[in-house]
Amino acid sequence: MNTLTLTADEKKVYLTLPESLREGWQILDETQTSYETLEALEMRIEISPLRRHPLLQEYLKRFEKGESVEKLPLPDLSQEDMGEFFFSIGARGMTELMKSVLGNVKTDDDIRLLSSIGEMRHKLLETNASISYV
Amino acid sequence: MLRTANPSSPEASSRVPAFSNREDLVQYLSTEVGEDTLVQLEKAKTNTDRRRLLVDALHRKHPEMNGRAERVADRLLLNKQEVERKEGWFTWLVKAPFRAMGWVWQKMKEHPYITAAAVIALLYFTGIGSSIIAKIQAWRAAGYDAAAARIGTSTITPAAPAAPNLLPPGVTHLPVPPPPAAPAVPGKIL
Repeated sequence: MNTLTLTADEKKVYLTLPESLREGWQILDETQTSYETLEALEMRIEISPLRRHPLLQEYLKRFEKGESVEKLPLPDLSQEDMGEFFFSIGARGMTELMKSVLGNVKTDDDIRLLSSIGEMRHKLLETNASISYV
Repeated sequence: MLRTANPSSPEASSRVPAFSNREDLVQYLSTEVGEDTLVQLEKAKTNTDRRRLLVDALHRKHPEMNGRAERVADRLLLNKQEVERKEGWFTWLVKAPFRAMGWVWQKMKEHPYITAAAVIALLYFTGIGSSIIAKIQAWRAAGYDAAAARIGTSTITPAAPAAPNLLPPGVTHLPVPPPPAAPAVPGKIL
């Protein structure tokens, strides 16, 4: 059985999805609450090597020249940079991604995407809870 | 004498460098607060104890800091916390049994609203200035559906949400990130 780790609010939305999409998935309750503070997210960005990524500097130039956000494709990043990205947006950012996906589920792959982001968020919440100095 | 990493920054009075890995942070701390304090820091059981250890050590080393020691200690502890959390995150990620992150990234690309939100987050990483922040705020204020309509994006469904918010609840603006920290020179920035 595949698993989906969802908060109580997410679970409510999920249960409104067609049965055909929900078939074969077991829901695990996300009960952890160690979401990042704003200061922690700022620190993550400050220490992220993504800040100096050449591709992002290129994106910044395009954006500064007036190109709209919608026309900038999600760039291909290395596995490590993707890891940096998800860590830096934190469990809070992942929750927003979950919300967006959940509101637009159409395929089984969308459910798998929810499952993957939910698992990453769960692990990050665990990590946040286990290391707290401030 | 107190010195900051970037005296020209408006936040210079409260900024000390941020270190991206444990080795650099430990090296810095061992110079600034001493190895004995570092050892005690690792043994400390509570956040209150850790903070007191650091504040006391900073006061001993830099008596001129006065009331700033608390803020510096808080920032160093936050830096330590996030460096260690990142280590934990990557340790798990390398061994993660779930689908490859590349697959997640590709699937995100198929959702225009997630792509836009992720691009905004990525732009934010670059240390963008206030003018860009204003543009992003305007984009978000306009709402993603309206923006999508303007450019004729046909893949957005009526159910698509407004511009996704990657900010913590209650945060209504994007703070301008500080410039990348200059290489830290022990003993020169406090």
